[in-house]
Amino acid sequence: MSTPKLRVDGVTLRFGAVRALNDVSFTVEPGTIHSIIGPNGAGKSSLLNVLSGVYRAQSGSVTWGEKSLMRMRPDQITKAGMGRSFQNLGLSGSQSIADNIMLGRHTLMKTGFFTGGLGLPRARGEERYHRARVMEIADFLELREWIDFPVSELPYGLQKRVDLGRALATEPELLLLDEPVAGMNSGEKRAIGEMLKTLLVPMGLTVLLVEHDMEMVMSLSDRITVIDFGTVIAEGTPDEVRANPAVIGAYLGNVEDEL
Amino acid sequence: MNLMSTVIAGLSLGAIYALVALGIVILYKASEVLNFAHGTIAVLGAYVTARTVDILGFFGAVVAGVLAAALTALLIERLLVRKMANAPVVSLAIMTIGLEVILNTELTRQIGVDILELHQPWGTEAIEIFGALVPWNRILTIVFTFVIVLIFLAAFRFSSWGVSMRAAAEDREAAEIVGLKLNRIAIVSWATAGGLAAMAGIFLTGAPSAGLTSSLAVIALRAFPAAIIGGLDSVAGALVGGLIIGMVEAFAITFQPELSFLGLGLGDVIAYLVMFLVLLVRPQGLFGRKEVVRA
Amino acid sequence: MRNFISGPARWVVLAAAVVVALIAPLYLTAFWLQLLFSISAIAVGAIGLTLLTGTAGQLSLANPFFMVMGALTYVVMSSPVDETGKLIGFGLPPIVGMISGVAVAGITGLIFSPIASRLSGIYLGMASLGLVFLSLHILNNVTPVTGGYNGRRTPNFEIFGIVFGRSENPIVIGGVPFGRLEWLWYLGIICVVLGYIFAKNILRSRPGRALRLIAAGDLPASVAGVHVAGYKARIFFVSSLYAGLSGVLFALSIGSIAPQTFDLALALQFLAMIVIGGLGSVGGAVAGAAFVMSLPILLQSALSNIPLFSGGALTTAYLSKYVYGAAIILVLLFKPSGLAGMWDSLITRLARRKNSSSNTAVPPHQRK
Repeated sequence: MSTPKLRVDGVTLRFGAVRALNDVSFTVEPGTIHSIIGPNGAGKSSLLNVLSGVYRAQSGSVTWGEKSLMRMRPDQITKAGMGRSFQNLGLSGSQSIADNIMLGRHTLMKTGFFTGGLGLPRARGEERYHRARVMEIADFLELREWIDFPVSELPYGLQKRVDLGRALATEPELLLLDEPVAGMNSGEKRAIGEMLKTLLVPMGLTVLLVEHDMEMVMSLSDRITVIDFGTVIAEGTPDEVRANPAVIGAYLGNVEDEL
Repeated sequence: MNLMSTVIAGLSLGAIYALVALGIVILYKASEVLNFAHGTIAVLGAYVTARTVDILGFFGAVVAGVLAAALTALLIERLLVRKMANAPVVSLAIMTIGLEVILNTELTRQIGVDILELHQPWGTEAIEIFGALVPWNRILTIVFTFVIVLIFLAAFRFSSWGVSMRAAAEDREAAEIVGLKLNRIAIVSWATAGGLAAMAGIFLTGAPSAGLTSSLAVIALRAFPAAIIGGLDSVAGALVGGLIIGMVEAFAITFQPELSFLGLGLGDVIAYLVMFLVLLVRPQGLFGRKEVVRA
Repeated sequence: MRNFISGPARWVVLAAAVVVALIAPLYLTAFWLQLLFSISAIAVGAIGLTLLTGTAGQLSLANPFFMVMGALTYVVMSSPVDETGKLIGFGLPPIVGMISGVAVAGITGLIFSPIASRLSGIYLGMASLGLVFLSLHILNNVTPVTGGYNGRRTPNFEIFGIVFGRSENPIVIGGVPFGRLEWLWYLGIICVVLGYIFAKNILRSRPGRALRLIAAGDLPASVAGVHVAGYKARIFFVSSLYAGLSGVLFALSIGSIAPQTFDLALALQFLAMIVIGGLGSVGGAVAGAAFVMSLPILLQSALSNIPLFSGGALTTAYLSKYVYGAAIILVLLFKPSGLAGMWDSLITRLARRKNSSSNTAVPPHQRK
C-alpha cells in the first residue's frame, strides 16, 4: 500500500463576493514537510480550513490517497488520519493539559456514555492505556510539569504546545500546522523544528505547515507553495522560491531581508 | 366573528408581537444576548402607565411608561450585561432568565388579581369595516406599529447608529478596532428596545382586552417564538415572525370550535407549534443566517 | 476532596455516610423524610440537566416535559385497571411502571434529540420552552390519560413484596413502623447515588471531555475528532432519561400528578438549581436542588416571627422566587462556579493549611 498523497486541485472558496481562494492547486508528497507561505490575509488559514473540512469550497477537489475530503465533516477527516493545530487554539480552556491532549485520543477510543457512565472495566482500561500515551506526549513536549493545570491559566506559548500535543495525539498521518510556533521564543521554535524534521517525519508523518517565520520555513521545508490574494504565485524548493521574483514582489522586499 | 375582523385582529396582534420581537432582535444584534426578560419589560411599561394615568393623564402616563421601560432596559445593560460581556452565551441567557423571574414575580404581585385600566382616550370605541366591528385600539396599533417600524427601518439603514449597529453585529472585534463605540450602540439599542416593548404592552392592554392583568406576561412571551421564527439576527424576520404569529393566533381563536379536536385553548400554544415546524425545516429561522462552517 | 481526606479516612467517612443513610428513617420525622425525598427526586433531574446545560452548554428548558412523560407512564402503567374507562390504567407492577417511565422518557428524548442537536444554544432553549407549553396543552386535554387539569393519583411503589404505602402489617424496625415515607427514603437515596456516580463517570471519561470541548465551540470539537451532532443528541437523550426517573420519583413524592405541575416555572427552578450549584457540577446540582426546594420552608420558618411576612402580602412563595432569581444573577456575576466552587475553595484552603509545605506546582508566569 503506497502512502497517500494529498492532492489539492482547483480549489476555489468564496465568501459572498470575496474570493478567499482562487483555483489553488498543489500536491504534498508523503513523508515531506510542505510549507504554505504568503502575506497576511493571503488565504492560508482559509486553505487549511478547507482541507480540514471547516469550510466547504465551491469548486475543486481535495483528495488524500483514494479518499475525497471535500464532502467530509471535520471529525471524519480527523478520523481518516489528518491532524490539525489551530492558530487561535482549539483547546478547552477549563480542562487540564492532560485532558486536552486526551481529547486528541478521542478518535482512537471507543468509550461512550453508557460504557463510560457505568464504569465498565473495558472503559477504565482504555482510559488508563491512553492516559499513559498522553503522558508520553506530554513528556516529549515538556509539558509534564503543569499537566493538571487548566489550560486557560497558561501563557500563550505553552498553550500552543498543548495544541500541538493534541494534534499529535491523534496519531495523524498528515499533520496540518497553522502557525505552530507563534508566541514561542527562538529556543522553543528550534526545538519544535528539530522535532518535526528529525523525529516525526522520519517516523512517517507528512507535514503541511503554514508559518510566518521565514527562517523556520526555509530550513525545514522540502517544498514551499506561495499564496497571495488566494492564488498560488509560486511553488518549488526553498532555493527556487527564494529566488522567485514574484514571491519577492508579493512580500515587497521583506522576504529578501529575512532570507 | 367574520373573516375581516379576524384578519384585523391578526394584524394588530401581529403588530404587537412584532414590536416586542423587534426589541428582542435589536438586543441580540447589539449585545449578543437573548433577553428573556423582555416580555416583562413590556408589562412593566404598561404597569407604570396604568399607575400614573390618574396623575399624568393618558399621554403623560404613556411617556412615563416608555421612560420606565427604557430606563429599566438601560440598567440591565449597564449593571448586568456589560459585566458579563465575556461569559458564554448560555450563561448570559440564564442571567436574563433570573431577571425574568424577579421582574415577573414582582409585577404579578403588584397587579395581583386586579384588572388595571389604562384609560386610553379612544376607549372601547369601534368602527365598522366591511361588516365587522373593529375597536379603534386595534387600528391604532396597526397604524402606529407601521409608522414606528418605517422610522426604525430608516434609522437602521441610514442613521449612524443603525450603520454602526449592523457593523458591530456583523463583526464585533472589527467594529471595536475601527473605533465604533460599542457602549453607545448598546445604550441606544437597549433604550429603544425597552421603549418599543412598553408601547406593545400599552396596546396589548387596550380594547378588546379589559385591561392590564397578570396574564399579560404570558402573552408577551409569545413574541419570542416570533423572533425565533424570523431568525434572531434578522430585523425583517422579527416583523414577519410577529405577523405570522399574530395571524395564526387570531385564526386559531376564531376557528376554535372547528379546531376543538386539537384541544381547548389552542390559541395559547399555537405560536410554539409554528415555531417548532419552522425550526424543523430551517434551524436558523426563516431569515436567519446559515453559517458557512459545518461541524 | 481527594487531597483533604486520603487513605483509610475516606473509607471511614463513606461507611459513616452509609450508616447514617440506613438509620435515618428511624430518627427523622415525616416532614423531613418527605422533604428529603422530594429533594432526591428533583436532584436526579438536576443532575441530568447540569450535564446537558452546564457541561455541554446546551440550554434546555425541557426537563418538565420529560419528567411528565416518565411520571405519566408510571401512573398509567401501574394504576389499577378502570372498568369505567374514565382513567386509563394497566395494573402492572410498579417496578415495571418505573422502568417504563424512564424508557418512555428516553424514547421521547431520542425522538427529539436529532432536532436538538441541530439547534444552536439559544434556539434550543426556545424550542424546549415550546415543548413544555405544547405538552401542557396536550396533556390538559387528554383527560383519560392524565385526569385532565386536576390530574390523578399516583399508585404506590412496591418492590420485593413491600408496599411503599399504608398497609395492614407494616414491617417494624427499631420501634418505627416502616410505611410509605420510610421506604421511599431509601429509594430516593439509591437513585441519587446511582445517578451521581453515573454522571461523575461520564464526566471523568471520554464523553465528558468531548462535551466540555463542545461547550468551548462546535468547531474545535469537530476538528478534534468529535462528532458534534452525535454527542449533542446523545447528551440530550441521557438528560431525558434522568428527567424521566426524576418524574417518576416526583410523582411518588407528591402522591398525585397534574400536568400543570410540569410547567415553565419548574423548568426555571431547575435552571436556578444548576446555576446556584455550579454549572456542570454533579454535586452542585444536588446541592442546588436542596437549596431551591428548601427555600420556601426555610423562609417560612425564618420569617414566621416577623409580622410583615406572615401576612398574605409577601408570601414565601413570592419570596422564594425573588431569592432564587437573585441567586441566579449573583452567582453568574460573581461566582460562576456556584456552591460547588465555594466548596472546592474551602477544601483547598483547609488542605493547604493541613499540608504546610506546599508541594504543588505553581502555574508558569503569564506572559501575555
